[in-house]
Amino acid sequence: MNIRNLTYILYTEWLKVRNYRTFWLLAGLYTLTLLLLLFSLQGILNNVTVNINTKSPLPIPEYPVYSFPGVWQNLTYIAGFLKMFPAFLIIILITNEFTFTTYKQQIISGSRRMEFLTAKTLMVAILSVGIALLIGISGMIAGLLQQSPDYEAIVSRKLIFLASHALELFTYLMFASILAFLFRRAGITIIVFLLYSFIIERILVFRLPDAVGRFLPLEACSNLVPLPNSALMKIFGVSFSEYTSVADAGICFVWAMIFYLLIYWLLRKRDL
Amino acid sequence: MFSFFVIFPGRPRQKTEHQTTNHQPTEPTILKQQILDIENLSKSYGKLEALKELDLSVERGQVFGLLGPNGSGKTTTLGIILGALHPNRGDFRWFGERLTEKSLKRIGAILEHPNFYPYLNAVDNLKIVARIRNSDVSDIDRVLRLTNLYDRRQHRYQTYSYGMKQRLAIAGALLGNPEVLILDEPTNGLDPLGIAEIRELIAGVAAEGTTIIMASHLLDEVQKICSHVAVLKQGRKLFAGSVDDVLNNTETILVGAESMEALEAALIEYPDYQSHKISSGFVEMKSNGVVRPAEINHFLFEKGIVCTHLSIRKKSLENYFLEITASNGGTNQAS
Repeated sequence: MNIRNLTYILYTEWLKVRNYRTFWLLAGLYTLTLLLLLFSLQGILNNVTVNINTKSPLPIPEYPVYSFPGVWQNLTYIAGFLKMFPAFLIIILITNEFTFTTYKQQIISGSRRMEFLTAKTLMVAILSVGIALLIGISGMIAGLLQQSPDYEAIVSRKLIFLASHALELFTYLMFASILAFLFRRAGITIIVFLLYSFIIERILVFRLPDAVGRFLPLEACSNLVPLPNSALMKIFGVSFSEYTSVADAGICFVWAMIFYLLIYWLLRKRDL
Repeated sequence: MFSFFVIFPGRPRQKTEHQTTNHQPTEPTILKQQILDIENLSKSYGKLEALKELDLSVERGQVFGLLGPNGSGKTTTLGIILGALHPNRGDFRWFGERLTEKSLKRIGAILEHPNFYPYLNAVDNLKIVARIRNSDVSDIDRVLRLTNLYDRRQHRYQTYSYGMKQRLAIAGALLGNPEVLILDEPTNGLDPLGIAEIRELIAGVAAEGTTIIMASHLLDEVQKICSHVAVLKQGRKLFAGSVDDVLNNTETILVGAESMEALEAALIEYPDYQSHKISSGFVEMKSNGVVRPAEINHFLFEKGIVCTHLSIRKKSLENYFLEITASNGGTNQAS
């Protein structure tokens, strides 16, 4: 698969979504919500801090969300709460091909199954990287509005959290993809997806020892960007990891590969 | 079949492909070219055997009709040869080779329903098809005009009537002028005018030398368009051959008289008599060769029988189909 093929496949995908209003409406709503969340985060936290301070015996300091380099971890962490929306987008894009039976038509017209999988994986990759970039730009703007530019602080090791978040999204969306390929209908896929991500895996993580639970796919995704250390945390003596662990990144990457191969196997094996 | 080639000796494109068939220098090579060869193909869905040991071959230039009642395995057959379904047993070859994406790009096909993005217009939908088939986007206008959709090309697919959707599917299959056209119930959902238009369109495409494989349960349609036909019932092939063979070997005449017994007795002695049956107050007699009403009338009159009714029943594929499917056991579901 060379670059020319990839751009050819990608442009065909572009033709499919270019005039697809539902897609742009959902994507627009998601982008707006994400930006709103990112830019109002400081205000929300300040409000909470003020409220707590009226009752707390200890004064709790304000938490500077947008200060470099912490901003990269803070924003990618909070953006993680909205990641099911791009997952819905991907589920809709994939199940559409089965609902409209356009996948079948493309295969009998001489498209490879592999091409179809590549197309959808590219969409997943573009969404993941695109969202991470959007968060990066937002963080840069919000940070620079509050403080003078400090190159050292901006380009710190914490910048890696943008890449971590892209991988988190990629693995998460690949999980959504395999469900979409498996069930082929948007309704059932979204229900199973929600059931698994918010109930089944939560119970498993709760029941299993940490050493095992961290290997579950969505848990591994969430672990890529750990909860940032706040001043409040430090007061209670809790400390969370400041960086993405290589092991978690490895687990996510392996899951993404497994999903990709499983989808390929499913497409090869199943009748259209 | 042979006459078909005499009239339409194929398109120039055929020269560039299949140069391997040069072992018969005395004959034009296109005569013997196998487009599709199906061997012993079987497919079951759980316990239901949809297709049982099907053998079939289609040669270049044929307009091949796949006939059968609903659920007889027509769409399953087309699905398998297009690589959409995996057969349980058996094999098939396109252009003498196993199915690849390359061979699929030489085939234009519609399978079951029209498959398009409802929110895109005809042009955008066909652009996607053209990219997948590696055919030129400039061909889109031609196929839209051919299928009478050009005026509605900017309208979204979801605003189309079923007939228009069906025509767009045919337009998509015609993109890039493929060597083989596979049509699954192409006139499904069309009004009588639409059916006539599509029939004309298919005949025109066939006249250019394109091989056509068409599944249908409309016998009249197959009779009007096809050069060859295979009849399927419950996944089994009952017959395969040229349409002329089906229609020419016997003819039927309906005769009525005062006394049916006397009429029956007399007709049995008629020289070209083959078989007969009584249907709705007439004797329906099959004769060997061409039926000559005047001769029969004269023959009966000499026997002292005056005909009250005499009409030739043109042998139709429908009659043949009803006969062949009924005689092979089970009830006939043909509509």
